[in-house]
Amino acid sequence: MSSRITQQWATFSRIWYLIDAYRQPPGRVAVAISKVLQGKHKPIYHPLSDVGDHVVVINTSQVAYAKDKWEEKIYYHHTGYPGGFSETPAHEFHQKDPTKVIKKAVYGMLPKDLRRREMMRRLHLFADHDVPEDILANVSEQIKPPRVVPRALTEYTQEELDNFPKLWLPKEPKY
Amino acid sequence: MVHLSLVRMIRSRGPDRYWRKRFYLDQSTQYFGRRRNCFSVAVRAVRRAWQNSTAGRKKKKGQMRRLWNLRISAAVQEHGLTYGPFIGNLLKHNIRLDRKVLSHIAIYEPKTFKCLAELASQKHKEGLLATLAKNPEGFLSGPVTQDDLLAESVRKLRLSSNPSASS
Amino acid sequence: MANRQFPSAFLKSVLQNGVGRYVCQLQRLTFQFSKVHGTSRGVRDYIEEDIIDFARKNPQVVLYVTPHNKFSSPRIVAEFLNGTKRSVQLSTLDREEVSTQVDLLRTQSGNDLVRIRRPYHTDFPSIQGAWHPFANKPTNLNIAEFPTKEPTFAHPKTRRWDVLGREEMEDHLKEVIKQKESGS
Repeated sequence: MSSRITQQWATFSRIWYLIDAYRQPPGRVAVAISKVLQGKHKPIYHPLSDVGDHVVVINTSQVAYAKDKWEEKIYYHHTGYPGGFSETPAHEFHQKDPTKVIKKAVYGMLPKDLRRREMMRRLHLFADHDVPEDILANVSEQIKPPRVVPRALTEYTQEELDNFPKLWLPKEPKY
Repeated sequence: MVHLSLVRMIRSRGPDRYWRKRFYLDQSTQYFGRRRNCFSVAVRAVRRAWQNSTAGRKKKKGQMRRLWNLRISAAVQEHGLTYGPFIGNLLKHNIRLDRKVLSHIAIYEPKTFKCLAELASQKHKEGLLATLAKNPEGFLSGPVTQDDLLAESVRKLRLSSNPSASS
Repeated sequence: MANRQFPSAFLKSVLQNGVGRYVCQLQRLTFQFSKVHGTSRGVRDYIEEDIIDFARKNPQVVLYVTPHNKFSSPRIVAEFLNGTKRSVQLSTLDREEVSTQVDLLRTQSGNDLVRIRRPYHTDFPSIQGAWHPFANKPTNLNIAEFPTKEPTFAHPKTRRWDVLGREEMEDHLKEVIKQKESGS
């Protein structure tokens, strides 16, 4: 009998995931995170049983919005009092707290009920790659970032540039 | 659920107003506030509850199916496959387990489920994807019918079994 | 309506009773009835005609027969091996109906009569061991250090290079380029 109880503990145990937000789009990172926080990656998922896992996000200050979204995206807030309306562009919002863009994106993607606060408590955000050791010791797997980390041309070595497969052959200039 | 009040109503002589009310009030015993004891409010609440339970019987089937699908897709992703190819390719193997049983297997017999996922993923790679892999430029040359694809996968299997012939 | 106001339980038997041998769960029967009252007539008939046979057939059941004028509505009080006590009203029942009531109590397990959630039950739902988060994880995670450059947890999207392999695909492209070069 007791062995079955420990089996139950193993089935419902929470594990910790790490994700690196370096040069990643915040929305797509938040999709990956919210699924894990809800526990939708487990075959035992049920909306009433709390089976979500922990997620540690590093390098949140390095997230990358596409195009002009740092200027165009605006975070609205109203305090409820007259004149309490405020609108903050994403770049200002990001400067105030570099973890907030991801946090807000994830918060919006979780189910809007009493489970949401509990799930958000299992999200650990860090602006850079310095994570306290006790948190890092819990991590048992890393989530693949949603896109391949883009590199500038200057960040490639000469060897890589030479070996890169060429899709077409540039013609000889005529001059 | 046993409705004793109706039986008593038939049995009792005289006006049946009391037992008619008891019939509704018995069912509202767990409700909140006036919906429990005040008849005119309770009768509305009980009738609405009947409507909800009738609708719920139909809704439940869809909800359960959605839950099973979600569980299957979560389980199958651990083996590197997605839900659609998994279900479709199991059918091609003529494995006709329904979603309820598949999700149950995923939880309680995980090794069996792993075998099912491997079967499906093998079938998946034999199909259209194999032809795409041959033509990574992204177009399929010539007429592509199901027979062509089958012949192609057979050729590929022969090549993989006899590497000297390919070179 | 499957509601929460009534208790419910899963299907169970008393210590797999009847798998090897059968132990009758009924321990005591107390007949409480009146010697004179008309409602007790069936019980009195049962006691005169059938109770001796019942006692002979079921020596494990202790019988108490307690006639008293205060019992204007007769009843049986049954006590079971697991400690439950159940009383059954017998007023205006005839002899055969009393007999069926007694037989019912004799064959019952003494468990509470509640709504049963599922018509099937097993103590061992899993043969291979139920799923747990570490069941299908790659084993090299045991020695991995985080953050790592090769994360493993991802939504599987089957891309062309997943089938062919990225290096093979690059080789293939290089071959295509060589052919084009030689052709031009």
